[in-house]
Amino acid sequence: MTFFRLLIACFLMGAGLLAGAVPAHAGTAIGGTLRVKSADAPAPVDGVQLTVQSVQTGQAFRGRSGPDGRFEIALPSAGSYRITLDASSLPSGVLLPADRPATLTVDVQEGQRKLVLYPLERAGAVQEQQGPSAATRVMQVVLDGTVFGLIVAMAAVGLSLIYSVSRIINFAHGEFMTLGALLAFLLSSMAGGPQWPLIASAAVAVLAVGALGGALGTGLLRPLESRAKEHFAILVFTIGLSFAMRYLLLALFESNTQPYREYALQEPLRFAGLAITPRDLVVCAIAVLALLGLGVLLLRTRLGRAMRAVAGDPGLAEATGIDVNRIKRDIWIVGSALAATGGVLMAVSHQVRWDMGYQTLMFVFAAVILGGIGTAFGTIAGGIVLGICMELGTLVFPVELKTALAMLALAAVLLVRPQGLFNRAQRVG
Amino acid sequence: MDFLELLSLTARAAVSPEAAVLALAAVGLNLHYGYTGLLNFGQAGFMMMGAYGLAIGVLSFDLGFAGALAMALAFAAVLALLMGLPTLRLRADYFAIVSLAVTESLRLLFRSSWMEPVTGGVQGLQRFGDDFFALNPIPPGDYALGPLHWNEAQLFLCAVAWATVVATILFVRMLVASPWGRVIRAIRDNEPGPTSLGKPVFRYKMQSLVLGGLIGALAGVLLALSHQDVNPETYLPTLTFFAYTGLVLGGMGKAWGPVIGVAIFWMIVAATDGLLASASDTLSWLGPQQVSAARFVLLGAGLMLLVMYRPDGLFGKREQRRAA
Repeated sequence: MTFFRLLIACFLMGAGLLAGAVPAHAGTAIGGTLRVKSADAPAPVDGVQLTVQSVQTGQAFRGRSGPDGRFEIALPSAGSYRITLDASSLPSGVLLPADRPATLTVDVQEGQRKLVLYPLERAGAVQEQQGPSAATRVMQVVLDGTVFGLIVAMAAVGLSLIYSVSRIINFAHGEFMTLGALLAFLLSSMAGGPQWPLIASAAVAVLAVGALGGALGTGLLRPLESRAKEHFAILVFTIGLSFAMRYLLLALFESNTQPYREYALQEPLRFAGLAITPRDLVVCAIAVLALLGLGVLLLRTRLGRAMRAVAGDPGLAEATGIDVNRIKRDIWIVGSALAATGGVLMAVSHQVRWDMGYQTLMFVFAAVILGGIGTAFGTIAGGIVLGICMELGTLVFPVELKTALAMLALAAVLLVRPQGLFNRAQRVG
Repeated sequence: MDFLELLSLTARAAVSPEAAVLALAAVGLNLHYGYTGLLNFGQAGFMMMGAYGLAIGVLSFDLGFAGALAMALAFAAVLALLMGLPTLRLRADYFAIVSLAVTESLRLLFRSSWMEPVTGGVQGLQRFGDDFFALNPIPPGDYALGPLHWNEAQLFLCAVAWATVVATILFVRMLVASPWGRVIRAIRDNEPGPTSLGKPVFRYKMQSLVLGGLIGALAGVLLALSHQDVNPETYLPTLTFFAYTGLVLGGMGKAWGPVIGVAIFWMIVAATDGLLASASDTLSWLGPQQVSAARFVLLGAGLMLLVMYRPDGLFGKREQRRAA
């Protein structure tokens, strides 16, 4: 299968990039980097004493920052901890701002490396509090939005492909994302698990979810399609599947939020006033490669041409000798694998959680509608536009209204351009 | 847990105000999907509008019960326009997605700290039901019927809730039998048909959406009164799918289907909850998180099995559906 060769090629390229990124340490710990703000690059602060005390047991642990400003205090178990920065151990001329407490209480999960921030300042330094310029701020949110938009686009294009051939909106698509991310977590990062490298775990997870999607599309939904002849039955079926899967994952995984072992904590890279973590760069690179791979598949290969033919007119496609059922199955596999890939990328960029896919599903739907339902390239563009617009919105509106405003904007777009931003108008109904 | 205890548990569930609320929401959905063919996945949004409309009307505008009720219905009508105007001219899938998305965004909007002065944010709103319970004509005391117990306020609420359900069903039955009802059923069965006869299909769909939404808002009002609390976490999409489950169980496009379906569904939920709770006492791997999750896993699996094997409800054939 050409697509799998492409997918594997994308993953191998991604693997190279992942290997170059900085892995963090394993084990339960509190850590961070002490730096002092200054006019040019922030300078690390060496030799600062820190004390961590368990709220539950009262046990105390000590640590100090190294020459690179880093500190890490290993902890025996999960729980609540109070971390105190010893202000007297700060080098002269460096101080903690008066409005920042020296003692913080944090909850640490099992296996988590909890990040603690102390914003240190130079004493008597002129307060140049102008912050980044407006242009830099806009650039930064565009960057953040692109990362999120690419992830959403991955999942959305999968949903859109499946819709284009089977006219089914798979409400369990979000759970396919979660399942991909969780399988990768179980294989790579869970204590007592096989502890594979993330890239191998992700590949296995993506293939497994692809197989599950193929089985769903052929095994369960096709008989339903022919028997019930009703759109509704299939939609409700996928909703039921979404519920069952989501809460099964909750029962098994519980409501923890956890990062991948290899990507727990990273320092953002800075250039031209913009900040991006290495893992987000990797996420972007993989997403772009996978989407390019998908484009090549759809436009340049026999399988892709057959897929587009079935999407355009299944009857006509069948008449030209295309095995429509096989193509439909392949599309379910590809679409579900894309969802799982999006899920893994989302988990690399954020963290793994039992309802992460469900929380993303709204944005996936929005991207699909924005780009025009059933159009692959429109959907990709829709996802990126959505991501950027949502982040741009946070410059003006409160962050917590991000989702609500995105959806209301979506309704407004539908009023003006019901066929989606990137779809040609066609007669409907 | 012995059998009698389980029996009284399920009996209490079947007549509880929550069951009436869900039945009412399902009656609205029946008008939307069962009779008009509108796939509304945002019924929880209409219920939320009803609940918040009532609470905000009483608390922020000092309207009294009747005025606040009118405000609840007005909120729901606005939501119906918001959902319907962009989508009802498009393919049905657009409406399905947008109804879900708009509902969920409104919920997030209502729970945001930006709206907190009016909606109470994550805390929600309380103490808005006094005007309603002041209307209670039932003298104080304890009332019992077999395993069921009420105090005067609960009995009043229960009576009002079920009376609303019955009245609404009779109203919907009348509507569907009217010339207006013939048009919406024609839209459901074959949209090009009434379109080619010059019927303003969009307007009919919108009217059906508003009417079903108003019924949903009534359900929300009753839910708010029964909990004496309006909280954004109540109006998750789960609520819509609960109502759909009841509707599918009872059979779509049947006047009394929603009530029967919801009563059965609520009894099953109560029974499984009871069984799971007693199972978690004996089985160590079944923690509280697993018990609360198992309920939804069973709901999901039940929905899947239901539409696979009994898409026309538990009881027999549908009456008037498209042939193929």
